[in-house]
Amino acid sequence: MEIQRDLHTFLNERNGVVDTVKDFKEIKIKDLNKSFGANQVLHDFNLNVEKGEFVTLLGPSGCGKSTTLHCLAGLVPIDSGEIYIDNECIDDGTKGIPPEKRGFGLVFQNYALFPHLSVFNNIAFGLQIKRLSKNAIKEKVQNALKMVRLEGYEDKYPRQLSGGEQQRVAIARCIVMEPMLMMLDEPLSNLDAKLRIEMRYELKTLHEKLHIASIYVTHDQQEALALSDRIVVMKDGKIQQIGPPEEIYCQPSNLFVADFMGFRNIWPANIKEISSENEVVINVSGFELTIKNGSIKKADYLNNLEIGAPVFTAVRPEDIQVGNGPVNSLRCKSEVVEYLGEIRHIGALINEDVRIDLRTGEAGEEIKSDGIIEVWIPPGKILLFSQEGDRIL
Amino acid sequence: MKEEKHIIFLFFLPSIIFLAVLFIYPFLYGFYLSFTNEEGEWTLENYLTFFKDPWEVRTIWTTFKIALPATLISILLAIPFSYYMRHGIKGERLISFFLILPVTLGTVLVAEGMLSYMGPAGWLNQFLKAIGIIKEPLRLTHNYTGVLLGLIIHNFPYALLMLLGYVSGIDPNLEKAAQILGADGWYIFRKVIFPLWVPGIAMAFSLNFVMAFSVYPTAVLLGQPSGPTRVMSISVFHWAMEKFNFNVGSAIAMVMGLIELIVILVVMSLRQRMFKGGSMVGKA
Repeated sequence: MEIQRDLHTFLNERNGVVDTVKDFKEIKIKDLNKSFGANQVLHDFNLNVEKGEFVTLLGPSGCGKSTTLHCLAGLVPIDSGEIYIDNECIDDGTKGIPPEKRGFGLVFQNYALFPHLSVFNNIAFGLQIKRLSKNAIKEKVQNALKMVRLEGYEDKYPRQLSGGEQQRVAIARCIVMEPMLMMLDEPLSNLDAKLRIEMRYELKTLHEKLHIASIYVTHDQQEALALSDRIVVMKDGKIQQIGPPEEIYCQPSNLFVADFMGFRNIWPANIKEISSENEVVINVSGFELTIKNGSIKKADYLNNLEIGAPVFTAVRPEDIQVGNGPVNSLRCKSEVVEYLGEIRHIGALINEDVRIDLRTGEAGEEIKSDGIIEVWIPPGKILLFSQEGDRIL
Repeated sequence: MKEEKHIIFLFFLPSIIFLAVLFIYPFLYGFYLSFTNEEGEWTLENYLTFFKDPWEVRTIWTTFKIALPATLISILLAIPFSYYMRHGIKGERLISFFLILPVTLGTVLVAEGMLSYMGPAGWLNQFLKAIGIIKEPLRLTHNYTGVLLGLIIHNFPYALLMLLGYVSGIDPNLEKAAQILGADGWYIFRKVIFPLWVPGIAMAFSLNFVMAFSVYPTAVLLGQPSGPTRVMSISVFHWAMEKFNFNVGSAIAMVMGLIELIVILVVMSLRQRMFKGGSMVGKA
């Protein structure tokens, strides 16, 4: 830890960054509720963001992620709940500190650069309001431009920049204010695929350098996994799961998160046999699967399940193995083979009712559409969910 | 490819014919008339007739005196209203309805209405007398004030709708971005909205000025067409339709057009000076 911190200090000094972010421990959001008319977009939203942490709000469009940002920024009044910086309440639904006094930064999806101002004046906008001296403004703007690698762009106008460059100016305009919290609202969604990955990398690098507490909003699970310290998965204004990327990816707490995280094979099933606390045999229409998964122990829940009870099961396409296995062997008929470079994605039918998606490496070369394939699923890679969608095993 | 271009041209043809018949030909014909006499010989006589007569030349000043304040007042009134309405407000449809009403009724009907409403024995004066603000009725019709008020009532809706259309097209995220960077409302207006709005304001001013400068019915009905509100269009009418001298009438109309053009050019160059960043106005 010590060494790491020293490294950061070293990097900061080398890059001419002085850590002047107002000192605080965490930003707390408590029981936030927000409705637009009859439509409740946020239900009892709770989240703590620590200084230096990168948190991503992940969810499909319309799940309330952007509203959360706008509430935090103070652009949208909240109905109830509280927002704290450490112990200081900045918004409790009756009167909040106005956006211009919160010391937060927001990067908009469409960048929202001022079209009539040069890059320099865009970035200097907030500093000029603070009435800093001309020299101080110049130095800070230069530093910010260096951070986003846009030296020499001072006199250009937004319309002369490419999408990626505009994005960087928007980020520079935000970081130059040294905000306590930097919020990014789907900042990469207007860029093409290649640029998106480059900018993602740069965002990560920037965060490693500056350690500004950040809340990032996206619907792209790759972005969320790549960037975040913690991910908040949301659906219909409710938090589904909060955790580090590995946990969200490997141990989704409900069916929605599993689906969102790429468990493409989701089948309804029935309990056939409960062998032990972490071993269950289920009956998916026409075939049986043995699940042996020790990572989540909900023994009580499992004990209450009766034989024959309806459940859901989920498997990732990449966890399905081609060939003959010791257990859970299945025969299926391939329908579609998609060549994706190093892997192939195969859509196949186990029987008339059940479709299976799998991914293969080189082993897939032989597979043609309309061919019969032997596959097997390792028992440890299968998740079990209750009928309500809660994770059991 | 060539054939395709011909076909595309055909699509434009109706509007080109429309413009040629109703706009370009009458203009060129008027231009021709203004430089010829009744025998069809080239001459500057028509322009000299106008400029040698101080009574006629004075109409330029008279028209300016009415059109410029009317336009300025309309625009300056419309700016705060449209700024307030830019994100949409409650009852906007109703407000728009009442704004468009005088436009659809036409100048003459509105002028007639104002004559009886604001006349010496009209409701307005009766009301003001009844509550004791005035003793003698205010002279609000058949003079300069009447024309000015009539023009403002007629032009204000145009100004408002034009300005509103432009300002509501400015990306609302820009305001939010500015706010988060620490700007208060007045700062946002001065540094973000207004600079982006200048092209729209310049456009609205120009169109409003042209409308006000070529005023005819209002000046006749609400003003004193033989004296203080004898504007250029009345002079044109006088020459063309009372003296049946289309040549002099056309010449005066050309002078009118030239003055309007000069004013528009002045406004546009001012706009250029105030607005350098290009017009990248759009929504997300």
